Amino acid sequence: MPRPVPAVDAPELAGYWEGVARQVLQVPQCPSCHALRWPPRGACPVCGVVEFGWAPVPAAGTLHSYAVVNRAFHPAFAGEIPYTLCVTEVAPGVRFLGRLVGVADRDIELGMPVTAEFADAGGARLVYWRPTQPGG
Amino acid sequence: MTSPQAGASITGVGESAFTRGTSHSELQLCLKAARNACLDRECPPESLDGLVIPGGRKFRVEDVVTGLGITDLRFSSRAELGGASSVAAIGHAVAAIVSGLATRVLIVGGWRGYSDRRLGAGGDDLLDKLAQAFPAPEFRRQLEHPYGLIVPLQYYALQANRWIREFEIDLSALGAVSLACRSHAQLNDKAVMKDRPLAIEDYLASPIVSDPFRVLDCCLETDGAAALIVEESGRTAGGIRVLAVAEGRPDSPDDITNRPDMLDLGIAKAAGRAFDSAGLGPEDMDFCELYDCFTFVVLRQLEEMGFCPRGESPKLVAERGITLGGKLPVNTHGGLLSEAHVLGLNHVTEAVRQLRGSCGARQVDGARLGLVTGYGDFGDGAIAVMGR
Repeated sequence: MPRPVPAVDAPELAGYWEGVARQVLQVPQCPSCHALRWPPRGACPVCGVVEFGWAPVPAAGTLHSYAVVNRAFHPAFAGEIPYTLCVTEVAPGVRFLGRLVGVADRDIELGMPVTAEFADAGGARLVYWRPTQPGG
Repeated sequence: MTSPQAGASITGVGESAFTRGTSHSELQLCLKAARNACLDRECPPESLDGLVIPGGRKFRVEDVVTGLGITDLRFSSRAELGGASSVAAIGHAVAAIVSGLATRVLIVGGWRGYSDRRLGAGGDDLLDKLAQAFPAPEFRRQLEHPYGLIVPLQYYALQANRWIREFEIDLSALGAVSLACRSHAQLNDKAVMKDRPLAIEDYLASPIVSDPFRVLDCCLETDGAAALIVEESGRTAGGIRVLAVAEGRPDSPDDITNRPDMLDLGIAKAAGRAFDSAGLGPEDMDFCELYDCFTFVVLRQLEEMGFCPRGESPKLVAERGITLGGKLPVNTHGGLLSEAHVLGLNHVTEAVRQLRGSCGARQVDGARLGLVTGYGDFGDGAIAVMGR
């Protein structure tokens, strides 16, 4: 069974996935007060403006939390077990859900620096996070 | 009590059978539970004039009206907080009663949680159902499913690991919750896990589904329904007073990833309101029926409701004892973990029976005050403080 892929035509998230395709992380930004609006909301919760543009955010951050998954709930992921979900913070108020790679479970530490990697999986380009190499 | 909410009482409770496998539809299970609540109240079903349906159900208000022969329904609403809806629904019913919009309100909910929707079954259909069952389905489809974040347990594992790391949690507390619920189920003929006692060795041998959660940290998937009748206090002898009821949402209620404090839960806001309204506190509760989709959620609710500081629920559970006979009995019917998953409405029916003193072998001695919680979606919460 194929992996579930993001529908890149969903309007409020299209810019995010378009950025991922170019190996850039970008999120909606309020054109009025410049607050980052992530995940996308119907209007800017700060000033109420519904329009938005796109602003780049760093492709590196710190590990906020993680979860090692030992059982697949969708057949597409059965061959990937065990895999590690992670939440990475790249800017104040901006976190991404993704996959953590390149670190043994016992070595995972909250707050550890991680860097984005872009890789294709099952017809979609996704974001993986790997512990930042010293000096990297 | 000075709370205006104390003007309403739960006067009838009922359930369908709780099973794993059924030939009945969700509606049929609910109609059976509603009729049993009317029998318990000794009122004809047509006398009901209000209806609250906890969220996500497949049937409509009209299906209940026609299925029960209700002749003049004056009030209806739906509570939409996922698994917290059953307790939040009590708030709707109380509001209808104290405002005079209705006089006898039915709350009924149930599902074919085993026969229709087992999560382990997998499949594309499951992804759509899960996305639709949560707030902001597009976030689920777009930002989470592609990475394999799909089922509630995985979301809560993200929170659990943050909690475990931040507070150096002793994980044996998860097992203590699982075992307490199972031991209570041995005293409950309706419990699906009656006659299947559990030892700590069994718990520790149960496979890890998503670290730190084992199979035995997860609730049952069952078919069944439960119903409540709410009326103005004093209309009948033996009603159980709703001393306070409240619902609450965490910050960023549609997204755990970007919740500023990932451990924030709606029950923190709701419990503060409810205890203030009732003029009571955690220390006054003779028992707690806590929504237990996962063992972890029981521990976290105790913390966020103020029974202990954050990170100290394992110590609280060990010191006070949550099994019957302990100082803080929790889920005296076995809970979603070991009685049945009836959307948490079975927690309310149990609390009512505890306060009536009709729980037999599992009765909490001298129970006068108790609380029930609901927990739903990404941490929505609801609480009812009840007393006789």
